[in-house]
Amino acid sequence: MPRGYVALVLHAHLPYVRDREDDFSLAEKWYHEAVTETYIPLIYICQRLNRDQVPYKITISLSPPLTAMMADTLVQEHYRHYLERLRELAAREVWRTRNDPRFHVVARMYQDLFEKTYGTYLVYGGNLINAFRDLQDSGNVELITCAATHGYLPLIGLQREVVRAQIEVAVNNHRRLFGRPPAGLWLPECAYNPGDDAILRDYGLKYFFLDAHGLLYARPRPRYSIFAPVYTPAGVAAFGRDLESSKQVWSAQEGYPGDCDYREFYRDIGYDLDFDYIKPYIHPSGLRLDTGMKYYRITGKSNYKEPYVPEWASFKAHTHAGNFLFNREHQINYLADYMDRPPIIVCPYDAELFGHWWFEGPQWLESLFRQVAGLAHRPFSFITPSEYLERFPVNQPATPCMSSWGNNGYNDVWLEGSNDWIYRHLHHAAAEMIRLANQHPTAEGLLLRALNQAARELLVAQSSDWAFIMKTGTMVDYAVGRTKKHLLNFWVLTRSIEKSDLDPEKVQDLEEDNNIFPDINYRVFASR
Amino acid sequence: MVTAVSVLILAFLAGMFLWYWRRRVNRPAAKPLPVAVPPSRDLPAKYGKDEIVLMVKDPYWLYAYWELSEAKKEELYRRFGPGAWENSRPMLRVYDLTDHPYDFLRAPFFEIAITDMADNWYIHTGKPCSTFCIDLGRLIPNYGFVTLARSNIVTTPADKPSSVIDPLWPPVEACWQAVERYGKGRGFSSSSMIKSQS
Repeated sequence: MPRGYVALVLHAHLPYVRDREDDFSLAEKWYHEAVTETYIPLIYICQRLNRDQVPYKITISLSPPLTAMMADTLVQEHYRHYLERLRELAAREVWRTRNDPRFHVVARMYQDLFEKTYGTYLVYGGNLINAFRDLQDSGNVELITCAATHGYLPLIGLQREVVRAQIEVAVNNHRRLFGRPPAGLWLPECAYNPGDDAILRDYGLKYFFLDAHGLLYARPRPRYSIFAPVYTPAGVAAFGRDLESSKQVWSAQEGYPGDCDYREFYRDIGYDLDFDYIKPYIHPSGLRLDTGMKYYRITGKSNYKEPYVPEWASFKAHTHAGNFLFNREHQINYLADYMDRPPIIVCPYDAELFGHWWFEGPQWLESLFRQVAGLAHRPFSFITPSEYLERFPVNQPATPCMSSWGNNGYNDVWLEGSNDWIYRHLHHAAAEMIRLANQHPTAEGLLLRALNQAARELLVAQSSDWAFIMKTGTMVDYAVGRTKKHLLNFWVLTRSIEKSDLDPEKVQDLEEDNNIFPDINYRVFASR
Repeated sequence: MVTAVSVLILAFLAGMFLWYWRRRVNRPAAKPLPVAVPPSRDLPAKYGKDEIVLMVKDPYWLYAYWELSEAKKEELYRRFGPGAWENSRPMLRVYDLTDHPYDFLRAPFFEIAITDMADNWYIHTGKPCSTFCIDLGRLIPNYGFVTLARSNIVTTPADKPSSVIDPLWPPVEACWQAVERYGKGRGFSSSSMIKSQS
């Protein structure tokens, strides 16, 4: 038996930003960038590790809005256009920089990356669900789900039916896309409300994750603090985030991603190059945007930046992976001396950190798996929560504390001056949805479609992202607009249902505009 | 004279052109608004209910929102006579039900004077692991507090490790020492893609 275990968990999520009207939507660009910089590189890594038979385990949470966008043909088409423009830009950049070896090598790196990305995209017919399903079937990757639209459950869950609907839709979506039920669930923002665990249990979910204090402040006090899960009163395992390893990767001051040799995120040729040259690759309105091609390294704290050197960055990623390994080994050796079972170190991260923010993150991850596999003394093993629970089925019973991984650790970020107004509207819409679901146990035809669409509009309005954007203060109008738009659509539908004057064209228009969860059944909102 | 004016006009036009050109090249990266909701379509200010809803913000703070219908006002007039609304003061009565579950008569409470304009309030309780319920009501002169709506019941979370120990699972001191130097709530939350757009 190994001295201890490390569970790496990546949570991949973006709100549902499919835009039928605009094939150059700024919000949809979040998705395009994440596919290019994070999701496809993640797929590469796992494929290469599988090919080389490197032993590794990773848990990836794919949020339902993200998978819905991956599976959507319009989003796939938009992404292909985006990538084709990017490939064209990279080719022009390779030519433009031909006499400046410092930048030329970086331009070549991007060209190579985008060409490989394009190849991968075509191999899977533009549908990354197929790629993730293949990885899942390889046995090293555990795919789990998240609440249906990443709803912040402690705040939207005034009615139990809402939590139930968020979970049921997510589990059904996962089963439909990946061919098997998810073993566990990533609670949106790690936001836990005691009692929600009973609903997770009802849908066969065996585990979820908490921020460290959610577990540390559990009652009774957990024997192993955060180094073993507890069973909630409903019998679901709650794993706590390790503080030391998250600090090493995340911290703005001492975290790896801030290293001087890593790529500078904020210097992009979309802003730096001559307007007429870059115009075809930024927003059609002439708005300068990130293109994804960034030529500088972090260098230092000042605005002075030096050119990026890919080999130096790769070397750093490798060194930092070694440092992470070294620290986990020490942490585990210390804990294992005192514990009567091997400790588990749970390291959850936002997937988009790897590649998008921290460009070298995917290299770091691959290097970490390869270095651990290469050590003869096996300091620890990577593990998925499911495997851990199979090996250690007996765990302490305790009630975790209401908590989240947001600033201050509770509901503060999603309930404050900028966003508190939404809950009144979300709660009333939910009450109406529940009432209609109870009133119409067996709707058919147009009524069925209208009820299903009302459920879609409500679910998308419940995304935690809108409240989060309102709080951060950038693109606030977009978040307010999305919240209002979906709630107004909801009320248009439900009032027509009440008055029995549904307009088939209007229903169809809304269905085409917001087509998340094609197989949704509004009955998920019914009281039980 | 005509030449001088022409030169001035030409210089002005050239200046305009240059200014426009520079502006075009250095266009600021303002964010357009991809979703516009016409102001005529807005969410209702009220839903025609008499209710108060209580939510937890953190171990020390609660948040409540409420609305009252015209019918509730009429009811007050019927019970206490004309002017009963205008002559009374709106109040929130916050019950601490921690030690007296569901026992509103014995539970300690405190009151917050609010205004008729307000429809939501942040409430400082300073009490983690405690259970609260709020009455929205009015203080009627020569009568006292009248409840108009009662909230749901909520419990604030803990802000420190529990003192309750399960004798079958006594804490391992080394595991607790290992986490002591790290504070809670690092603020490394999700939505990093969105943050990056700033």
